[in-house]
Amino acid sequence: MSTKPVLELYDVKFGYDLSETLIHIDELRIARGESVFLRGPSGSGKSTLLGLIGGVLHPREGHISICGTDITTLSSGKRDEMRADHLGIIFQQLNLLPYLSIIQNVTLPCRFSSTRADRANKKNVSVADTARDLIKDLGLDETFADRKVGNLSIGQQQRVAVARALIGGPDLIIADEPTSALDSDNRDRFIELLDTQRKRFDCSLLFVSHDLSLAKHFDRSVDLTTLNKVKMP
Amino acid sequence: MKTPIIIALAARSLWARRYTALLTILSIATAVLLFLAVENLRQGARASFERTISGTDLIVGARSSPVNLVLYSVFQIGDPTNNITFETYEDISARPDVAWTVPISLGDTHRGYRVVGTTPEYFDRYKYAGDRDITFENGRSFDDLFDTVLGSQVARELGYDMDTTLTLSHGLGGTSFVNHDKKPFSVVGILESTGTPVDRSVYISIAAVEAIHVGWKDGTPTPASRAVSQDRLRALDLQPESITALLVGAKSRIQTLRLQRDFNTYAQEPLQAVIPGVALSQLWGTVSIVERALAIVSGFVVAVGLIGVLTSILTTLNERRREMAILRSVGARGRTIVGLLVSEAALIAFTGAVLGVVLLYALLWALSPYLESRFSISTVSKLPGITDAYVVLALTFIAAMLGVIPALIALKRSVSDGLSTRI
Repeated sequence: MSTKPVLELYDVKFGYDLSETLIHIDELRIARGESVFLRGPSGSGKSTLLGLIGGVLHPREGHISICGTDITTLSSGKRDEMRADHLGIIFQQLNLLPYLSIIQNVTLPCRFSSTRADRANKKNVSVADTARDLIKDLGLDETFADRKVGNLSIGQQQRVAVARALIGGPDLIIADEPTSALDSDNRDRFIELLDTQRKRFDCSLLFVSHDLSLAKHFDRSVDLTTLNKVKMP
Repeated sequence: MKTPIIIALAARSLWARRYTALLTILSIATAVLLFLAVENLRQGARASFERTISGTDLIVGARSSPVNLVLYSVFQIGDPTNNITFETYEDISARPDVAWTVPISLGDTHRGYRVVGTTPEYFDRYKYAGDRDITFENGRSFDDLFDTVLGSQVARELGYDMDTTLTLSHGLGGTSFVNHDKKPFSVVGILESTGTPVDRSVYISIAAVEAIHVGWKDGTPTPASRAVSQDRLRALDLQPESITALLVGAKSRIQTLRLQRDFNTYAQEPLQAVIPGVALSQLWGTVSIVERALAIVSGFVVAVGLIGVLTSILTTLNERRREMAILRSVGARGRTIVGLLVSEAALIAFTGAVLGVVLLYALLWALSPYLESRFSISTVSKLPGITDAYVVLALTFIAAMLGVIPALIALKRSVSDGLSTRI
């Protein structure tokens, strides 16, 4: 197994045009298996940073490496491939495509990444069976698997989103304020579940939130307002 | 989702918005229905038009325009400018390069249907739709002076049958105040439907035309004319002085042009000879302006339908930014986003176009008896053909091309939105 960090950012600068700089990060590294809590208030550039790590946005300067591959040197299509192969992303809420069933939502990354489909297919178990196992492991009734996601509670939807992020064992899970719509009991249970499952798959975790009280659940905490040298008004 | 991911996602996304998608599909279906209906009826009308007369090499009448001659001698529309003398008819018939001639004498009607005075040979020589003969559904050709043969539409619409007695009216207008009510005719034959003006004609012998006008002076009946009995008329020599036109068959087709030139330069009286096919093409060129206008209008309807597809996708783009962000987050490439929206446009257009074709042929199947009987359009196709396939494919392709516009907008937004669903 590679010992390279799953994520490395060096001297990254980004702005939507040359006259502005929204992000300037000297260094950020996440080691394999590490869980990092990234705190930042609204408007601190969290979404922009996630866009850069995901390869949807391209920095003006600097280097971003995913599992040792500098994605800033890649074409847009190759960056999309890197995202599909190595990243699992969980959003704040409304994570799922409402016109797909639970199982179709969970297996969606495997439709875009043969690497993750191959990993999910290990030991002659189909992607769908792997997805059903994940759904069960995350405490959802697997008989729901073929139902549309519309009838699930927000907590259940977030667990489906975790299953989707974990399928095929990506190297890094990015969770962008996934607990903001949950009450405190469900929030703690959700974080514990996410941590347990990502350890099973040996995934690193970058958990983004403005809620400092959640930092205790993670190996390390990083403050984006300190990390980003550009001070937001 | 075994189908290719983009098509599967597009289909499911459309299904989730099925009510608005259905309206767009219906607008495309209506546009295609209208477009193909115009095209189909145009072809049917043209085919019916061109098959009106065949087997006749020349139509000869008094000098006028070729179109006018064809209109009154074949289509029973308009008035002849003049008659030609019976001597001319005999002279033409006697030519060694003429195989046959059939005289036509017009000037009377029956309840709005034109009466054609001719000889029994008319039913042997007149052909339509290539080489099809006029056949009798019932009865036979006229034998007695006061026998008449009816076209199928005349018999059907007026409810006439064999042995029905009818009287004729003088003049070619729809209404006449001068009737030949003392000279009734008996129906001895009813023709099969041909989809040509033959169906709308009443046939009597050329001698009968002369008979019902015996004793007339300056186009009006005299008291003496009314007194002449039918039996007495049967005993008379009723060779007409003039006829309206004649159909001519040449002994050899290659002589047709020379015959036409000879007749057009006929010294004894001014004649007009036309080749039916050429005159029909000229005539179609005149009336096809309407058909072209209809085609243009239906083309615009299709364009409006396609713009509807574009609008329906554009209006949903904003509310679908989250969907795009989710897709990007699970690894969808930029081309997947473009492909998704292009596929949606193509799917809407394809479904709408196929529905339009299905509706069209269902309608044609249901309406074809009416079209045939009412408008003599009997050659509209009853099954989809290659033209329909081309229209469906062309529309799908154009819609896909139009879909590139919202697709590029969505792609641009998906980059600026990044991986955020807080939109």
